[in-house]
Amino acid sequence: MAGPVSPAPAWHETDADGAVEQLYAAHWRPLVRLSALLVRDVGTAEEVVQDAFVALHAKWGSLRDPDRAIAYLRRAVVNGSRSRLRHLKVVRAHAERQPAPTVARGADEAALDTHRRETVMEALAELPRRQREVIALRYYVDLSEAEIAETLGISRGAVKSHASRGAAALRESLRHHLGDHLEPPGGST
Amino acid sequence: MSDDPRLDPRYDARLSELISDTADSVEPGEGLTAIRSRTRPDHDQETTMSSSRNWLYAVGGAVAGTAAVIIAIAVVSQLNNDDPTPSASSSPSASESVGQPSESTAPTDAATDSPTSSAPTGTPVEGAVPVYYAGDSGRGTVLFREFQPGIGGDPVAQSAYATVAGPPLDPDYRTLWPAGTEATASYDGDVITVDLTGGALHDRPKGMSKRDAELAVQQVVYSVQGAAGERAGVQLLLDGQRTDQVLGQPASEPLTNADPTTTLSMMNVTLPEEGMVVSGDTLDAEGVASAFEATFQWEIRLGDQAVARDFGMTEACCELSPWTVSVDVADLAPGMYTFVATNDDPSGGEGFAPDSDSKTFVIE
Repeated sequence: MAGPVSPAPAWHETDADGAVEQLYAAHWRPLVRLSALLVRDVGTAEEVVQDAFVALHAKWGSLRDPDRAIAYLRRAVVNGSRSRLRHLKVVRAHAERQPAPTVARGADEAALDTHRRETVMEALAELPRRQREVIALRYYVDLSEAEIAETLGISRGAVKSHASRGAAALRESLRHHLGDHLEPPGGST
Repeated sequence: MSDDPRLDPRYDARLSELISDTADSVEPGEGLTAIRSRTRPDHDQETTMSSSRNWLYAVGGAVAGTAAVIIAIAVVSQLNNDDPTPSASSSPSASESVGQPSESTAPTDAATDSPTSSAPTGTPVEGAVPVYYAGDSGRGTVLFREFQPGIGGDPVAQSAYATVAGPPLDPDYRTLWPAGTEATASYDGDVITVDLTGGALHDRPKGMSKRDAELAVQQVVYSVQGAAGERAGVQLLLDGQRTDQVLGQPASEPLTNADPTTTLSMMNVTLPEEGMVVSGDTLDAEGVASAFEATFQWEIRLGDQAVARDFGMTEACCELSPWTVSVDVADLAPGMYTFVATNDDPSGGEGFAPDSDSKTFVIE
């Protein structure tokens, strides 16, 4: 006899394979995108996130909880992106790589969109590493200060100061794109 | 100037919008195949080369080393191409081996000859490409999925070519497209465009049923969507031109995938791959199925005789979901066997025969 239908997946009963499949379905794309903001390379980002899922698979027995699993994945992605970035810098020094593949939707609007996205990627790349991580987690993943602190293993005070410095730097480097709806920054004479 | 920019909510919202839009423009490829190949139980526990991973390895030396990276970058450059028409310059390896396949580089040739005869290169080719073919079931013709080794170009183009031109690795499968049909494809992040060539494809050929014509079109739709990792609309072209129909099926607008329950086999074996050589003590089989009460039966046959059989469970009931079965084959003598997985038959033989799939494999 079939048991009662439960809409929610029974996470505590799910094995590692099942957990990976379910988490993959919901989080693969956003995690690759998060990593792409940090490493500026989609292929590398995919590898980083694959690594994170493989690590999660091994750890599932001790996590057994989707929220903790997602926090774990996020941490693994940020850490993995950081170490790949070190390696990528070496590679890039040898072969001048094309800047960040950002993917355009259609032919018409593509040129402007692509330019804007490249500028954003560039601006993020110019930030110190910690600021970039904090900014990506705050503005893309939409994490709270406390969640960012936990993800990066730093204090909330540090999160606050990285966020504020990073945002200030972006306000400068992205002023053409931010200024559309605002008075020019620093315009209060 | 000394204002904390974060205090301005408009600035915060706009910055969030800019960064999110940039991130969301990144379209990752499919990653689950690679993850699962790396998380199989035997992946790091067996010292001997795992048979079940052979299919992920380079076949015939066509792909090796950093293929996964190359594929990922090829996908990106393809997606990044503003021009929706397939262009030779956007992905040289794709145009070389998919656009004009030669005997030696066509994806399926090497694999059909000897899927596992070449020594593994040590680096998995994580860009295995899904391709859908027709096969028989108790309900009539349905589509089955198999994975073919990535050849290092654009997987969407490879999949489109392989599904219309064949040949499938599994001899139980076939393409419904008229002999001589070829295809190229590209995905611009919005619509997958498939350009078909090779003769009279506008009308439904004499002798092809309407159902087969629908399924032929769905072969392409499911294949390129699978390779793209997105259920994007699929725009068919004939010889580079928009067309009102293909094989007599409406094709002026981008097509969507048809209902899986009436289109796909509800049992599909992914591993063992056809012809795979198993050298260890364990056969790790896997696939997808939609089975009554999530239960199916499997058998290993030597000739007509079952030498092992048991039940398996899919992960979820009532929709296509993954299953894995691990079989101790240490006692089986070297030889050629068949792995058969068959869904339970809730009608007890009254209705259609339940969906089934089989793969031949070799025990060393």
